[in-house]
Amino acid sequence: MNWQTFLVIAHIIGTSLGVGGVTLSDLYFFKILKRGKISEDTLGLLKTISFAIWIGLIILTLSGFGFLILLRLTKPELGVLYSPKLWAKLGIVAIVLFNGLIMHWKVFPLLESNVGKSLNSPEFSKKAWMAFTTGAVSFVSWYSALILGAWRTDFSFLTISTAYLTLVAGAIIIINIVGYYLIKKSAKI
Amino acid sequence: MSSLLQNALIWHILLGLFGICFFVAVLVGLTRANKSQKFLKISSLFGLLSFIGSWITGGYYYVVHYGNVVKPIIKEGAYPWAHNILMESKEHIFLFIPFLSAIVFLAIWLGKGRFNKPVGALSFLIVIFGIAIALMGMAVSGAVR
Repeated sequence: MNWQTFLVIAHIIGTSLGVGGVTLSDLYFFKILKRGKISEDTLGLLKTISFAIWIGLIILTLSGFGFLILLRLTKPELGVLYSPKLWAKLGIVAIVLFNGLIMHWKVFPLLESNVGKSLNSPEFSKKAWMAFTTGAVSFVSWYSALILGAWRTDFSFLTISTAYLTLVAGAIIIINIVGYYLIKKSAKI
Repeated sequence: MSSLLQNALIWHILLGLFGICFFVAVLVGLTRANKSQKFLKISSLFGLLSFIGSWITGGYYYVVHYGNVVKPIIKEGAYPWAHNILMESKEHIFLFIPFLSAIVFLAIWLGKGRFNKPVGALSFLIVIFGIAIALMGMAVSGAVR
């Protein structure tokens, strides 16, 4: 196996872990909201998925930089390092990283403090937007990175950033509306 | 470029990335309700060692190869600012990252959990600087055509 193949495989594994993890965690989170309560087991499951996403992010970043090293050493004349798509992907990965840190800093403690309690409480509702917003950013970012990696057309940095930010803004609004609706609905059950 | 220089460049990048990952781990460890001192100690130790390794390999590449071969190509090319601004900034920021890492390492190993807030703030700064340096390094590398 040559380095190129190894890096492609690692990059796919990293992306799969991230995209799969973020999809599962968002689905589980909506299930929690529908139920109106979070158990110790479900929180443990969310933490395990989050760990898998971190591993995916590390593999994705290391293999991504591996590609850059390979290109730098073998084909510097290509100038791939100034590709707008590459910089857009790097920006998105940086957003995924900081969003993940905010999740660990704010969202997991919020969920931990509400284990076994009704989520339709003023304390949870007041801070639930953080969970919805970081969830939306994470979801859109991972899928955007996947799509940008697979889509072979060249776009300008402005086009990619505008499309990405529009999708992030849309997802934040939709997930906040659906999330608060589910919290209210769970209280009536 | 000799294989020693190639290896120096590769390890400079990889160890720098490992360093960032370990300090992200310190940040994640600090957000936990039950903070594991063992996890924080190991992450900060490996983070510090990674940055020192990246410092040595990067320094060797810079002194032996970059200044004589790469820098003139960049300065005569289409992106001279890649050296004048980015590499100059990168050099100076990179000089004190291992020192910042050493402070975090010592605060975790000797502080027994007393300095969690400053350790978190410094680790965040290290991650930000690390990412900025990685991106600047990419931009500088891209200017060599």
